[in-house]
Amino acid sequence: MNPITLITNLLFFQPLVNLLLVLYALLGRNFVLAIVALTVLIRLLLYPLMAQQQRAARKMQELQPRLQELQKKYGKDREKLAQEQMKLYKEAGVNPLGGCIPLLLQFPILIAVYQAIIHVLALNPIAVIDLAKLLYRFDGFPNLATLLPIQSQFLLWDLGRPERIFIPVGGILIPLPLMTLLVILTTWWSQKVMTPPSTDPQTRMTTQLMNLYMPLFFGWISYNLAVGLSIYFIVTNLISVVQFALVTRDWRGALARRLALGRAPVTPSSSSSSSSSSSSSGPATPAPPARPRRKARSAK
Amino acid sequence: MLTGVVLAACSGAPPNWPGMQVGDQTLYVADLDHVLAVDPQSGQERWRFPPKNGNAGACGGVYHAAPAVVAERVVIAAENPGTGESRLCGLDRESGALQWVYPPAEQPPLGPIFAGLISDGTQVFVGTGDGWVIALDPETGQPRWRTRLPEAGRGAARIWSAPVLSGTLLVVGTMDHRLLALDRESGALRWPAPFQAGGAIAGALTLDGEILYAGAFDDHLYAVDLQSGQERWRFRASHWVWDGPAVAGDRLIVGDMSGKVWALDRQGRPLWAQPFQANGPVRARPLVVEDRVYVADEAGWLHMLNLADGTKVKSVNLAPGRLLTSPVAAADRIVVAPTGGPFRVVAFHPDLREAWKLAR
Repeated sequence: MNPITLITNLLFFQPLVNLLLVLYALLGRNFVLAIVALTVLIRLLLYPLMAQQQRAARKMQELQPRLQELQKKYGKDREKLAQEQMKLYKEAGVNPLGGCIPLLLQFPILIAVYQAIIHVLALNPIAVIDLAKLLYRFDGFPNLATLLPIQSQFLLWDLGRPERIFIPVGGILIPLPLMTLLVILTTWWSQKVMTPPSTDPQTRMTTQLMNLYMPLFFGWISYNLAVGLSIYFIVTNLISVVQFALVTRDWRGALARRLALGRAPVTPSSSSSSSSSSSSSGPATPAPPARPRRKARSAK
Repeated sequence: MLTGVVLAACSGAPPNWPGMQVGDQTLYVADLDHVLAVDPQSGQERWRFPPKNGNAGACGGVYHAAPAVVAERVVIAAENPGTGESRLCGLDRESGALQWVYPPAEQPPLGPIFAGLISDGTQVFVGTGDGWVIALDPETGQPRWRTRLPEAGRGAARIWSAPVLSGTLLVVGTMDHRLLALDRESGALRWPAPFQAGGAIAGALTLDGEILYAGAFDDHLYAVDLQSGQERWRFRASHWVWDGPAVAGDRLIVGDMSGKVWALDRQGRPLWAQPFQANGPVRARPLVVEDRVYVADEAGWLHMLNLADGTKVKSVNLAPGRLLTSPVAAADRIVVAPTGGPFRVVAFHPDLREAWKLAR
């Protein structure tokens, strides 16, 4: 085993596997509850990183009109444009990579969570061979191996297998991928909520495509992998939305305004006029900075 | 996006180790993309399924359950790697040509099949990962009976190990810690109550007269009375016991996932001064040939020990291959099938000099 894998296993994967099994034992041998509890715990641990990322995204969003002005002013001089952009970032106290670094730091944890769920579900003999090496075995610690196999049945689903539910319609079996649809829906929602509106048409187009493809991509993964992973995706998406609302203090925006489809994208002018329409539930206006908006509401 | 790609890539590992079976001077190996029939003396391939440039039809997929060899048939399990669902396929023993598929392509497939298939000469028996035990006619592939174990269907009664036959009984071990006895002709449950171990029973069972030996994930080897299903004794190992022991005269040779190998008497008392310590977990049942014990470990080592005292005579290493399949003896060869690594099958002389090997 190479040193990076060894360290990753020791720091992330092995503790998660054991924590998941302990949660499973504590929560009445309900694996869905164990996944939910693990996801919540991880999100709490990652809260500072996530908050930093979301604040950075927020600041970048607020700088969009000024960045667009710079684009218009120095569009032909790329060097000058870059200098002015960096100056603006510096003045605003924004690190343009500030949103990316926390995200990158989360990857090993996300992969470890996925691997932990799959290993604990013990889908196949090779996975269990690997699991045998991961369980803590020392005096005073419960023998977690006696918990295996995990009770993997949850309502209609076997958490350890891909979702294959069919309903007969006119003599033909039609697939009914409910969990997959929930993954698609919640992924789309969390993306919609957390993606900052852009003033740049090209960025806006890219965002729209990502908001379409990413839910479908995760839906494809969910349909083909164990249902336990779908539970993790759904819980993660829901917690992300709640967390975003907490960080930005924009509950209405997180839970309602961005849900609606097909409304006009944000423009600087509509943004500037948002105060006059802030009482409406339409998504056309970007989520304004929380405090000014609350002031506007209290003024009413 | 990166997360998704990595997650998708993570699902590509093989689900199981290769399965081997020896029948009438032929070695049959089910190893991922093919089932091979090989001359164990020379290593020459006799046939493979699917044939080169051939179409496996409804029997396409991956292969890892040890085949059953009976009369003119070799019965294999083919798994859809995407869903884990399986079908049983009857091949012609001489040519490897496909003769039948069960269930047929137009019917829903079976659950995952990790357990090896066994035969009593007239029927083939298999346990599935969703708790079914099935008896088939090997000539036609028609089911004689199908029994779903109690509590199966809630993700519980998964069968990962090959059943064993004794007289009119067919015994299966399950991942939910149980041993169950079924009637060989009807599939009806026979013991008053299942035997309950403290951990999952995932590995091969060992039958020795009226005693059945089963390893479990609660670190114990259990000896169970075959007729009553009652415990006779248990031996505490250092880690999970996966496969049951090899029986050699008055002693049982069993390994555990800490890499220790013990020789026990028929009452479960250690016989060697100290257990042999392998270089990796010992999942597979050791092989005993005359006065030598062959132990395969997960780190890729094949060890040869003295049966009398457990001292090591010689070891060879096949890493990066992992040795998770039990070694088999055929035509004066000791044959192993590594999981991963460049070689599908490696055969040794009894003194562990290499005889031949088949590349993947």
